[in-house]
Amino acid sequence: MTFRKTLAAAALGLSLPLFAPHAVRAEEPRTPSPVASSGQAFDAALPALPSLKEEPVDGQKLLVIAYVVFWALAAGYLAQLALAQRRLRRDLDALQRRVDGDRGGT
Amino acid sequence: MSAKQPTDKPPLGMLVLTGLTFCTIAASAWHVFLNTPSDATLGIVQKIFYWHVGAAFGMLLGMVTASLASLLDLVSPNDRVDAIARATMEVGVVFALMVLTSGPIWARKSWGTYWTWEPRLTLTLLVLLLALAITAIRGLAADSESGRKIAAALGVLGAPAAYLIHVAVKLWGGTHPTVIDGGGIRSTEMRVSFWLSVAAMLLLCVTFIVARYRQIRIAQDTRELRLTLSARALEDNA
Repeated sequence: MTFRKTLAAAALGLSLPLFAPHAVRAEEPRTPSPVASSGQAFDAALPALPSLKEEPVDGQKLLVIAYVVFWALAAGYLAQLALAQRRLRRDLDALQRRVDGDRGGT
Repeated sequence: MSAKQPTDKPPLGMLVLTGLTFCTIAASAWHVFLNTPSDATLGIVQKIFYWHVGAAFGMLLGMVTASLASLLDLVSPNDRVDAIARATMEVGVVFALMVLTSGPIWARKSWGTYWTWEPRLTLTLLVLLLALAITAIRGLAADSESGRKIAAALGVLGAPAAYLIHVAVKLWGGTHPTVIDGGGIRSTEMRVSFWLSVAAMLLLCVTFIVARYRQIRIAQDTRELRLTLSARALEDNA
């Protein structure tokens, strides 16, 4: 258990500095993003990234991937809750047997 | 034994909440896909935005509640508050993962790249790592008083971190659009879809939190009961 704790702490400690240089770079002043007036109704401010719209991307495919991943995460957590519930029921059954045994003994 | 009843039969409130969540998600999906036009600039991929922002609201709700509960748990340790902190932080992690997967997929079309180290994205990633660390500590040291205190002390950072994520674009700029504060949604259908999706995601978040909270509370009661039985058995043997 101590080894696992040490390993988890070390992994966390080592991973944080990896992001520090990028975080500092991200704080450097940038040209403000213009609020785009284009578009029918959705007025998202598009950044002036060089690769924007240079290569065609299948938006429908991305939409499907995003929603599949999104709901897979929700379903995954639901499955984890179900597993925890099953463990809990097993624990309670074991306790019930123990209490019944105690009652039978007294 | 009364402790078994809650696991066998969910309370009416939980059933109502689950039903309401399901209906709101269905209504949101119907409105987003069948009633809302695609954006002229971004196309159909813009529809990711609705649940992406909703999930971000869920993440912030989880982190802020976990932070307040952790603070309370530090001031006056209490099993109920500990269960709230644990449940909200766990659900916060799930919603942060939703945000950090759906966002980059949308960004691929919108920004031309999956990832950029801009302030809001970097902060969200750091908050996710912090929340994962706290969840790991709670998982590894569930029965340890010091582990619980360390997790609570780290958990307090959730609210300031959530606030920084919220104001990151205003403070440091970056490539994230300021849609809500900037009045970016002009179409009524889009606005309805947006708020319906936010409501759906918040309800899903609350449903997960309540379900997990109940589990943690029953687990705490079970542990207490097991300890009491063990102590009684020791007394009997003595």
